[in-house]
Amino acid sequence: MNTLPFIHIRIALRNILRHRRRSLLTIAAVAFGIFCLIVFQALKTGLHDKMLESSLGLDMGGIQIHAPGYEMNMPLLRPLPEPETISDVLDRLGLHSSSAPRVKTTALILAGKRSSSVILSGIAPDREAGVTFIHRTIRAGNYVPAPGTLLMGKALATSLDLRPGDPVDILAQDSFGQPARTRLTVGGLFESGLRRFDLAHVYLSIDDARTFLDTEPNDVTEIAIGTRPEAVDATVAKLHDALAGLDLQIRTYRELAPDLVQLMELNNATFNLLIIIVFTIVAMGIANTMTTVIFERFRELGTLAALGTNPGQIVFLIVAESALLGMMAALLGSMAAVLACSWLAVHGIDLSHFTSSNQYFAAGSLLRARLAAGDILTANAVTLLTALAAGIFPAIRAARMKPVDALRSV
Amino acid sequence: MMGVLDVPTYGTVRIDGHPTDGLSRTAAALLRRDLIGFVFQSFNLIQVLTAWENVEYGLILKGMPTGRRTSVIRDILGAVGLGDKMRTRVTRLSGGEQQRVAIARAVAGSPKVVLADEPTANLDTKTGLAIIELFRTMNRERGTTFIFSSHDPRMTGLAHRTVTLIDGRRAPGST
Repeated sequence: MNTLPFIHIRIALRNILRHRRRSLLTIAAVAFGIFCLIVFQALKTGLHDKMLESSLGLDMGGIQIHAPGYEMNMPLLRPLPEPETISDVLDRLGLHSSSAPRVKTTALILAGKRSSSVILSGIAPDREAGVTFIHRTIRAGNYVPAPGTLLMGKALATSLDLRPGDPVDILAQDSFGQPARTRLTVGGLFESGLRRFDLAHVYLSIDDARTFLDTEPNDVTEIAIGTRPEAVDATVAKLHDALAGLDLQIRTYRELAPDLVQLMELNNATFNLLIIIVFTIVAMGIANTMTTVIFERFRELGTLAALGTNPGQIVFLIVAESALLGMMAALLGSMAAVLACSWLAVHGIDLSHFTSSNQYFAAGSLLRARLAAGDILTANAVTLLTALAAGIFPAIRAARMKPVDALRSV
Repeated sequence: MMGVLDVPTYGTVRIDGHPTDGLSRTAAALLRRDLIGFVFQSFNLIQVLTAWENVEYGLILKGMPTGRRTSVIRDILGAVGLGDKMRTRVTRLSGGEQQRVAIARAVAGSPKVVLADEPTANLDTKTGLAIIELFRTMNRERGTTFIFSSHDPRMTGLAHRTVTLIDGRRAPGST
């Protein structure tokens, strides 16, 4: 067995240990780079999780089904065709408990001399809880709107000077396009964390909404499906297959909230730029160390060449040393990053000071790190590739030396 | 130039019949590996390796099998009087001991030519004589050519041909 690579690795390792302080400094710098990469990535993942949880869980869900043209004019009710067929399909695909049928329109809410325009959602409370987190934000009264009652944002109630039990009048356009008016009682107040949302949304039971808007008994204008972002595309494909015969508009959160997607892409781009900067500095650090190593050991490399070590083997020797530095740093940085991410996953970072009015943090302002195994592997691969790339140029330079010049050097 | 470490401005250097001009870096390295052993005046050992590993390095380069390598290293380090320091890091050896490791490394692979710069300069009388005897034996039994510079009359007395240099030039009357 040719053991040359092993003896070169042994030489590389012992050279690293021979200059402990310098090696430690280089390893610390590279380890800091991979630590930043892993922790920032975990925080970014946690941030995107929070943004998606808030945006999807507030009202939207991961997927929405509408009749075509729904978004053109919400007060003009456009019920979904064949709601029973759609319901059966949702049951068959296992989406019953994570889908929420709604009758949704715009309305004017009147309380004495005060009024406000709102989005009125007739909901099936048990199904709605599988899509949104509003049921977890009840501050007074009940979540499940009893017949003749409605659930409204606490901020809206305050602005209209309303409390649970107070009567309100609702004005809207019914399914025939005629004005409709009804009197309901405030049954509960919610506080989602996003004041803007709370000021503009009220809920009542879907049956009350159908009665009030004079629709057919099974009419539904919107179905929101609480699918996890990573499963959205597969679910949409299944829905398209199963509902192929119906004229429906099935859209994902990416189409419903392009601003959210663009913001996450902007985050990714900024993060990637940051990582490129960090790893350029890391690469320069390693290259500097390896260049110093080569200058110091020029004579030794000349001796190796004199003994018959060919240029490729000298490149391997130098790159092995660079890679070993990278591996040690990757191990150290990864361990530190895993510890930091574990702490951040439990304790998080409180962003409430910056996010109280931000729709992307309605579900909470505690940013927790989420570390994925793939991210650790990627970070380690990037570090090792950086170490290899940083070592290769000094190594080629060493391999190109004339042995006689190297042996003459002091 | 004889060590194929440099190329002549004009003319040709042949080692064991092999021309050395126009060789690539890799081909020159192979030629040095297979035909030439070096003993440098300042030893030029690999500092992070032991005496055993320094000798072994050249043999690994040659692709010598492990079993034969072990036997060769043990014999050659024993012959230069380092049988008890085979596993010692060379930085912990004295100058004379390092010189002997360098000699062992140069001759272990049975090269055709050994180029040695003052090979006995750092050695005591007894060890110097042992090294001289080793060189004589290798020359006689394996046909190894030793080309060395030396101020040691014991060494110069051995030579089949002596070239005397004064201030870097061949002395008048030197053959």
